Amino acid sequence: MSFPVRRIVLELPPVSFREVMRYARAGGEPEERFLQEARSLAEETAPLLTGRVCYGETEVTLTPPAVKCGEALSLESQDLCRNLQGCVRVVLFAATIGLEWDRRIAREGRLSPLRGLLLQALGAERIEALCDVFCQERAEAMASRGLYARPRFSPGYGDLPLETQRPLLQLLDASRQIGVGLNQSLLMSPSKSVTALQGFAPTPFCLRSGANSSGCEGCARRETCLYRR
Amino acid sequence: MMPFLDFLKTHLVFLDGGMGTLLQAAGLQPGESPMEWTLTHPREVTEIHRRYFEAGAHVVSANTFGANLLHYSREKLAALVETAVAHVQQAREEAKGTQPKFVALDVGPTGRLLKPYGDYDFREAVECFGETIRLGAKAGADLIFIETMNDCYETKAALLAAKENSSLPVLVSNAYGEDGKLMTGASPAAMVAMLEGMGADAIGVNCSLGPDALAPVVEEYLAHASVPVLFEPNAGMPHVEEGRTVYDIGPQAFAASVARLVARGVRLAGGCCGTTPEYIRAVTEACRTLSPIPVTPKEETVVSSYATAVSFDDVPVLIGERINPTGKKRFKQALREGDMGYLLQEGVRQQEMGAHILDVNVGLPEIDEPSMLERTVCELQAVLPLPLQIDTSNPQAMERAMRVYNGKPMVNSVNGTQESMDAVFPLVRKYGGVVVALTLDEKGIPQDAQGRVEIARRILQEAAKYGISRKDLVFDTLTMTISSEPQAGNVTLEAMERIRRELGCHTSLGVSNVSFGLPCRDVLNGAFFSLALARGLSAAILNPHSLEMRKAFYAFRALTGRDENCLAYLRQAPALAPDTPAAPGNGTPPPLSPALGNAPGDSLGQAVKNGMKEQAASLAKTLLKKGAPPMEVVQKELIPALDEVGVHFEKKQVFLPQLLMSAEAAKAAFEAVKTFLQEHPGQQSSPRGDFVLATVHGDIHDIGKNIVRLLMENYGFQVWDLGKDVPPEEIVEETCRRHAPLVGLSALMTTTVPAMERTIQLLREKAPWAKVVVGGAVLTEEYARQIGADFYAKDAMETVRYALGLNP
Repeated sequence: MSFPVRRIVLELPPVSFREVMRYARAGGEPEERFLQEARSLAEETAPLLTGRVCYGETEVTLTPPAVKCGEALSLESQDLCRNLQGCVRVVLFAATIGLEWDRRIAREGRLSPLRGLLLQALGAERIEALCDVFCQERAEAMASRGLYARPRFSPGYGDLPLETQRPLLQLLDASRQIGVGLNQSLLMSPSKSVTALQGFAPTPFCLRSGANSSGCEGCARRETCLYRR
Repeated sequence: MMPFLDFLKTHLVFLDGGMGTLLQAAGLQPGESPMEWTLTHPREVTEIHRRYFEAGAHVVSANTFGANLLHYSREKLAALVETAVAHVQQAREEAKGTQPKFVALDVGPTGRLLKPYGDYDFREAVECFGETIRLGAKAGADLIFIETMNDCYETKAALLAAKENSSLPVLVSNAYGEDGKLMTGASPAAMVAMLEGMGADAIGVNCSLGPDALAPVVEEYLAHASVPVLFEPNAGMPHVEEGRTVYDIGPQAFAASVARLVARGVRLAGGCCGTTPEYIRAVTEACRTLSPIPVTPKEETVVSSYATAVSFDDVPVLIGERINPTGKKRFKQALREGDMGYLLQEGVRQQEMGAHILDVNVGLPEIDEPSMLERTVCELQAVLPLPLQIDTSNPQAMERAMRVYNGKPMVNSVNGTQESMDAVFPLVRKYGGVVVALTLDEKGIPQDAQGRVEIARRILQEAAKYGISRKDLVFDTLTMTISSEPQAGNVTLEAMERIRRELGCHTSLGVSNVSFGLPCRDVLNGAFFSLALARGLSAAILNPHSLEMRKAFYAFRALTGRDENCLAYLRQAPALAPDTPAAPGNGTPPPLSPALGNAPGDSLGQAVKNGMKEQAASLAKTLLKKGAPPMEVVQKELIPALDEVGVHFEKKQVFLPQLLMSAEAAKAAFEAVKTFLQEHPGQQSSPRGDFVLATVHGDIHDIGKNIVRLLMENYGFQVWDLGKDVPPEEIVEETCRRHAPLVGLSALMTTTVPAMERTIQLLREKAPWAKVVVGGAVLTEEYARQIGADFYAKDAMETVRYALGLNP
């Protein structure tokens, strides 16, 4: 197969409750009792959580707006092109913290919207943390090959359509590998899942170039977003 | 040729190996569909099948893994299945080797996840599989091989479709993860219970991992299964060598590992990803000297859910009885109002109190019981992992609930009347289940134990006619009250004990009936429960909150060696001690929002503002007890407090979590008001108005919607919450039924806003009187106007303000 897929289970770092509170829209200085509640939820739900990732790596060629990932996947996106500028390799991946989390959100959401909200926020923090751990690990592995990581880029960012999730998941055999599927409205299940591409270039990543900036500063909705850092 | 099942009875059966790798070696390009090759490269595909037969396989699967209506048109699917089956038949003709050769229709997952986590409907999945199976049977397949399923529910859909659309033997194989569970959480024991109950002819494990990594799962199958076990592991884990995927276990090592499990009892062996005819040949050779280990029936009484199995063995099983409207006014009201939250809460509380199984009874004369039972089962299974006991006397309701149930249910009940057995046993045979059998018949309940045991014997005989074995019957010898018949307790216990001893069947009792009509019922119930346990009772339907029952249960376990190191008892001890005051909270409450003041919560309003749930409920009860009119409690205490929090929220002085905390506290107080009103029917409240609420079709986000519901309920609106992923027609239907003046629609995704627009259009057409308020992350005021909504609410408080404006 031209696109071999690997599957790994990763350990997650400690929870960043600051991030959890941001996702829960708890205001600048969240009250101690919400932090307490979030901490106890995090402790309670930690056993439900398994960080699973499946991924594959291939070469990437750019002829804006076309992005060609090996033989396997051809995409069109100006924004992705900017993100991958200078890249020669790309890692495609899908990550999830699993279905048990959705069950728990469903249950708490029905009984206590507050706990539902906090769990939702905690789940968002956890899947982001999983992606960070994975990307960091890939970055380290690629560094030994003299390649530098770019910030990861997901379907739905900029002009890369959500539909991109479908070929990505198919290519990664994600349903079989880690149990991630897509519904008709392009929502992933389990809901706390991410698909993304991470580029690798022979030159280090430069935030100042603007084109590559990640996080809130680089986002078109930075002025209006409710979740801005 | 010998029929497949006869051959399986006396032989080891070898299956084939991987297909993908071989097709690629034959020239299949990346991105090209392996299934298309059936039509475009018949020779290559047939050749692969032939090589597997010649390697010694008895069963070769047609190239139909993903052949279903989700991927192909009806015509194309028919051509694919027919041709694919013909290729294996052709290969059978061509292959050398004298072993019996069988053609399997291969059925893989649809690739879509079923509700409630995905958006694929169980019914649709059964239909989808059904079409492939009809075509396969018509094409002349000898058996059906359902494989690589990683979801319990989808496996059930496929097996049900196989049973409903053919009479061919069915093998069912699941793909387990590193944690020894299916992707959606089921344990091997849970799968064995469900699949055997539904009549699979062989069950097992394939794909995911190599043979040694899967061995523990296979061992579990062997320990629990009463049907032959199959095993098709991968050739280890894949890695990349020079751009090609290579698996890390070679044919000999693979065969040796597989043979070890064949020696342990596996009866059907083959390979999955990465294996080739060489692997299968090695397996047949490694097993040459092994004779098949006979399959022995395991007399285990097991019920299961999508996650866990509950086994009736040494430790008695507690069946929670609280989801039942009998004698509960508030519960009846919740049923009439479709208030699933209330039912779910009953379920969660019983789980917390240690129930192993939940009885579900929603029978009420004025509701459509079949629909309600089906819905309740689905909703409970969406949030709770406990197996359920489907409790109804309506066979139609029973069937609908058993059909959608995810796992092997407990069923309550059948009895010795012919009518009951004729209605219930066919359902148990078809869907699987452990059924509670009441020892009564056309003549009623026998006065003596002998009569009840005789009925039990007759029930066993009748069940056997359907192939239902004793392990799937649990006898209830019917507890009668001792207030009218002094010997009632003795008779029940004697019959129970004799059935356990003489017939070898498990038993269950509804314990609390024994004290009907007497004071201090808990005392009698607890003592009766202890007596029954001591005489061998296997399960009891009871109120898990009852202290006396809990005492009896944990003491019994500790005293009879059923609680290692008394751990369960020690854990429960603090809650079992006499006169224990309710556990205090965690000391002083944490500091409160400055915006809401730091006043202690001694008034109801303040408790709501502070978000103190328990306090709000108890203050409301106190006010009502002191004679405060219920509506005054709402209007003068709750609403002003909520208003104040709402204003602060809008000014961004308090944030979403605070708003929710207050809303939940208010809800707890409302619950007290509702209960009071149920108990004092003279003072009915008049809700503000009907509000139909839903997350639109295709969208499954409901946190925001649930927040709106909570607040709207707090302000006295009658909320009809239709849930998430709700089709436009259903929303319109409910709006018309209630003649609701206001409809709330929620969507989070850009992709589901069109569904919102369609819903609004349909509402305009069919329910022109209704105003529509929309909300959700992707919406803006302008977007809302474009899709024709009356109002865009940026948060839950705005929805409330808008609704109050319409309906002051």
